[in-house]
Order: sequence, then C-alpha cells, then structure tokens
Amino acid sequence: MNEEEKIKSDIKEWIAANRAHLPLNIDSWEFTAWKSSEEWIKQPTVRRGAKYDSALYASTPFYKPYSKMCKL
Amino acid sequence: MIFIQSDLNDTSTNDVLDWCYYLSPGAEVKRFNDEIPVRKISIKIDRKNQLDSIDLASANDSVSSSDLSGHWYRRGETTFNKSFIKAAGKQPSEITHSFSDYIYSETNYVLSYLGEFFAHHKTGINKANDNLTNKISNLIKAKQQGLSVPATLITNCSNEVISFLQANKKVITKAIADSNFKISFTGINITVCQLPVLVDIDTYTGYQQRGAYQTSLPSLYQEYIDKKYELRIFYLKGKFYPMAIFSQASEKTKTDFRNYDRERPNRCVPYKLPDAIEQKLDAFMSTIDMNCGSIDMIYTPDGDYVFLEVNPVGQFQWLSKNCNYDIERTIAKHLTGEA
Repeated sequence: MNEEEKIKSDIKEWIAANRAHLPLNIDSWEFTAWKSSEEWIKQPTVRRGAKYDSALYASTPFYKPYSKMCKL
Repeated sequence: MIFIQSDLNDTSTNDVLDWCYYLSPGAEVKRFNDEIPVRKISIKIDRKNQLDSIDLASANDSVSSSDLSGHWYRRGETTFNKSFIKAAGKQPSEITHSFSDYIYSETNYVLSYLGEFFAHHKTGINKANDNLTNKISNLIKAKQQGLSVPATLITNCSNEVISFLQANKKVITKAIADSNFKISFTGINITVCQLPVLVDIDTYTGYQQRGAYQTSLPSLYQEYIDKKYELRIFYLKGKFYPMAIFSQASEKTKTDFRNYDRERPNRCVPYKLPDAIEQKLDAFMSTIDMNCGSIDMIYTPDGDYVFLEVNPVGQFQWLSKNCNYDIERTIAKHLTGEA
C-alpha cells in the first residue's frame, strides 16, 4: 500500500470509529489524494508581481466552443 | 478612488481593471488581496449630518470612504491581527479561549459592518457579508417569490431519509454549504469533496435494519430533477446574463456539470430567460439584499424553471467568454460610474 492509500485508509478507519458523530451521508464523500512533490513545487507555475498587484497561475488554456443565440 | 477587494490570483479582477483604466484613464484603483489584516481603522458616525465615514489601512495601503467613488467586493476577507491570540496561547487555555472567543465576536461585529458600509456606498457591487448567504433560507425565499425549488430534506435521521426516498423517485445528497475542504499531510494532500450523488436506498435501509440510525450532524437530501439543460445566470443590479449548459449529453456531467468532461466539454450557449422568471429572480435577489451573483437553475423536460442556489462570488468569466457577454466591461462601467 502506497502512502496515499495508507492515509485514505486511516481516514476511512477514523470515519468508521466516529460514524455516529459525522453526517449521515458520509459514505458518499469522495477522497482524492495527491502528492505535492518537490518537482511540482519547484515548477514556476506562479508568477508574482503580475499586473495590478496580482499573481498569475499556469492553467489550461480557455476552450471556447462554437456558440450562438439559442431560441427554444 | 475605486476600492476592490479580491484574491491575488483572480484574473477576472485583472480583466475588470483593464476596462476601468480604458474607460477612465488615470483612475485611482486600490486593490486589497486575500486576507487583509487591518492595521488602522476608524469608523465615524456623525451626530446629525450624513458624514459617516470609514478609514481603513493595511500594511501596504489605505482606503478612506471620503475618497470612494466605486467599490467591488470580489473575494477575500478583512481581519484583525491574530498574532496577539497566538502569543496568548502560552497562557492557560481557559484565559486564551475566553479572550479569543470574546475578541473574535467583537471584531466580527465591526467587520460585518465594514461590508455593509462599502456595499451601500454609491456604486457598490457585492459585499463581504454576501458570503454568509444561507442556501437553505434562499430556497424558501425563492419559493416565496413564486420560483419552483426542489423538495429538500435536511436531517440526521435515516428513517426520515427513507420516507423522503419513498416520496420522491430519485434523490441526491450534496453539501449543505461548501462542497470541499483539504487535509494537508507532509508531502500529501487529501481533497474531501461532496459533489451531488444519487442516494442508494439500500444504504439507509441497512442503517434502519441495525436500529433507527441517527447521527449528530445533519445532511442534505434533495429531489433529483430531470434536466433538459442547466442554466447558469450571472445577475448584476437587475440585469441578467444567462447561459444554457447542455450537460445531459454526457454521462459524466448528467448529475452535476462540475464533474467536468474535459475531452468533450458541455455545449454552452447564450440564453434568454422568460420575463416572468426574470421578475421573480429580481424580486428574490432584492429580498436577500444581494446585487450581484451567479444563479444556478434547471430547465426541466416539462418546461419548468427550477431554482437551485445563488453564489455571490462565483466564476463568471467562462460564462462571459462563452456567450460574448463582456461582463468584465459592464462591471467596470458600474465602478467608474458610466453605467
């Protein structure tokens, strides 16, 4: 079992032990594990000092599908 | 001077600012980002005249209501310096907890007024307090304005859920207010998410068979409404910018379009709401005292418009760009006084 799976398993055990104190729909909650690896942190994804006192984050380019007025 | 409260990485604020500088070259704009610890604050209430004022200063900048010509609350929050409470942590916990509880309640009282003041000042768009809008109360207020809403149950008793499932063909469960949070471990993060999922009756009858199951905390259950398409409507001071999202063509986005299908994105088109629905939504927004927000609705195969919720600080750029609404320019026009 890798580290992510181990943590998820710990969370599930904790939920089972505390079920009576948690919301009724706890079984439908989703848990996604992701590693914040050093390589990922080092990537220059954020550029500080961008215009208007803001920061720029790298992201997927905007996809614009064909659109027109829709009369239904 | 235009005062904007936002997030460091909010690109929609940059686009609105592009338009502000184009429409009003030389405009003085003050942008506060993220959580702003207040260094100096003075609220003055005049005895007789309409000269009430607020002076606010953070570590980097200051804002005075006397110079204010426009205000937009986009995101972020204003706080007081909390380091004092952290330092008090060295003291016995009884002292720390009692002091911090009292100080937080007093400061939050002042901060809630800050939001009110700026929102009602001339060209204010949204206010920090809009974040506290109650989605349960909003369903009831929308219904009072004549809008259809889904049957909803908030409970911590499994027998109530079973009765609700028997009364409605399909039921979903979803977050009551916020849909996700993050748990951070060293090197690993866990995102905990509550997107809408269809409820399986066997789970709850299983609880029931083990005795009437009841937990401490409630969950939300809602009638699943069949959709012809979903509507995302940006509302700004009485004007509507609706977009239809054809989410039913993809199994992935059928229950909630936020389960994005990245390979085959949903088709999104500009849309015109019926006048009667616009009037009801406008009355609803007035009732909850929110002058800007993103409204989620469903259009059913039977031709009914069903209100789901309103988000005061939602994303609007995907809607603006998909439908060529140029919302950023309209917001800038309000801020520069050209609207």
